Amino acid sequence: MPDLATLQSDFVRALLGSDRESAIVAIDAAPASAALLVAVYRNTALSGLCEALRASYPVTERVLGSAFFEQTALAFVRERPPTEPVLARYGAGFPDFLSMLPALVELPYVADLARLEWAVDQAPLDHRCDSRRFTLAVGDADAQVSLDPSLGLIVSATAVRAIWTAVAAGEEDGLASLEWRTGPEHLAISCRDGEVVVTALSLPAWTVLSALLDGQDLAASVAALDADHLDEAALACEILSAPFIRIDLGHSSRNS
Amino acid sequence: MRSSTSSTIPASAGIGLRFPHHREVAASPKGVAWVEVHPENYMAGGAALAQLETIRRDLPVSLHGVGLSLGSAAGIDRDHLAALKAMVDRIDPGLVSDHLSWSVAGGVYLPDLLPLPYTEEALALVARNVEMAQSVLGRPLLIENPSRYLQFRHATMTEAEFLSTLVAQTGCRLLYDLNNLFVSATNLGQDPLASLFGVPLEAIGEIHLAGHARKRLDDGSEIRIDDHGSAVSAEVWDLYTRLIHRTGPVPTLIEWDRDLPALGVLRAEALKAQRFLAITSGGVRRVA
Repeated sequence: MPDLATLQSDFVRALLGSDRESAIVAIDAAPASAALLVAVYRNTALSGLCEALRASYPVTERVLGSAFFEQTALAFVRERPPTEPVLARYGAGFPDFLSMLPALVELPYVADLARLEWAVDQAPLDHRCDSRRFTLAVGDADAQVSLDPSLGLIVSATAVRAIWTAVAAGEEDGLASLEWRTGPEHLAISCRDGEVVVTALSLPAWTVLSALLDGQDLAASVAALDADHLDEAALACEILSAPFIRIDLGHSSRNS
Repeated sequence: MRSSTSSTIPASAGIGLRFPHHREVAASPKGVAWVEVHPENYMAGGAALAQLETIRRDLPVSLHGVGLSLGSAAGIDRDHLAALKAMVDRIDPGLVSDHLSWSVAGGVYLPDLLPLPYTEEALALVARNVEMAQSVLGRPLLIENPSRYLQFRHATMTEAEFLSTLVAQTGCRLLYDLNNLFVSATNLGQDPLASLFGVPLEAIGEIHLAGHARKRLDDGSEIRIDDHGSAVSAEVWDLYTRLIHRTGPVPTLIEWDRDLPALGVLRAEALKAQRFLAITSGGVRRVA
């Protein structure tokens, strides 16, 4: 008989469907055939993972249809099973998996939609990074500006914000009239008062925020922009009025 | 977090708390003796954890893990154990439990409680993992007997023998799931009554009650599926009354996951268990 490590390795392969025979030799074929009994466990494990994906990607499921989503989720689960027990964080690779499916090659917005949906799904959860802060001169004073720790940025090759908004609101009837080829979209996803907010950004604002999230300071983040075509006032206005910005004006004057 | 409500789980009937009932329990905790949650469902934080902390202010909470994978040959995931420790520190639960099973092999995690062969090798491994978990958590774990659909040819002991030795070696306690006991025994052609008293009764710190389903397999055989999707069966109530007649009152949990009913249905099941508890030894455990 196999040792425990070998048995468990064989059992996992049997559940994921890559090798259905090795684990069976160790199983007592009662009350049913060993293969059928293993299938009981397989059904529980795989359906649990598909359910986790369904919970994270409800809009994608509605766009794909329940049957196709189930089939695709099952293929993803078998190819990329989770590596940790917190299922709320399982499924990050699903959008990339969708982008490689031949059946969706004519519908590239589906993977982008899933990418947006994953960011929306994860935004309310705890974040492992502290919020990014920077100092901004406001008249004679310094203002402390911070990015909400829930902030995530994505760039979508296709225009999916309107699709996501419509489907999430249950307004699928108008989907056919939405044009997804007008991308790219530069999007910010954040939480405010418990609600997830998706904000469309200009390319300069997205670039600056992306650099800030990467740990660069404000000067370096702005320096990366094309200075000849930069409207600094408009950029500052866009960023400072965004829902994921917190401004603390309670700092003393630089001249005092 | 340190709640003003005692962390001690009373020898009463509580309910397994699931997300759809959070708000209702938070708004009206009276009529619920205590609740139990899966800590893995809260480890990502967010609103769910905040709601659990609100509920903890009014009710004792038990943390019932599904992710320690105490039977994994590769050992316990240290990161997950640390996350559980952080959750224990935050929630101040009355009880912490997990299963006699495994879920991880080769770095792959599967959301199921997979069966162990009851061998000396597995016993030594589980004992080592339980001791490590207890050391990090700073408290005894309750170990739950799993529902099983198969057994291994090379097993050398019964589940009751395995659990009894594990208790003796590690000082862990038992979470005795009577639905699991019934499902396993029925599936494996055994008599649940014959093994009911096979574990050390004085080590039982909690009892689980739940419903199960019948499923016809492709070869025509029928098995019981531990789906937590219905009321507790008459056979399991029978095991329960027989057990608490011997043990006296023990914290008892009604579990319901699939086709989750209204909270009132869970409360009614808990009340039924509470009535059985009330007619036992008046709060004194009989097992010395």
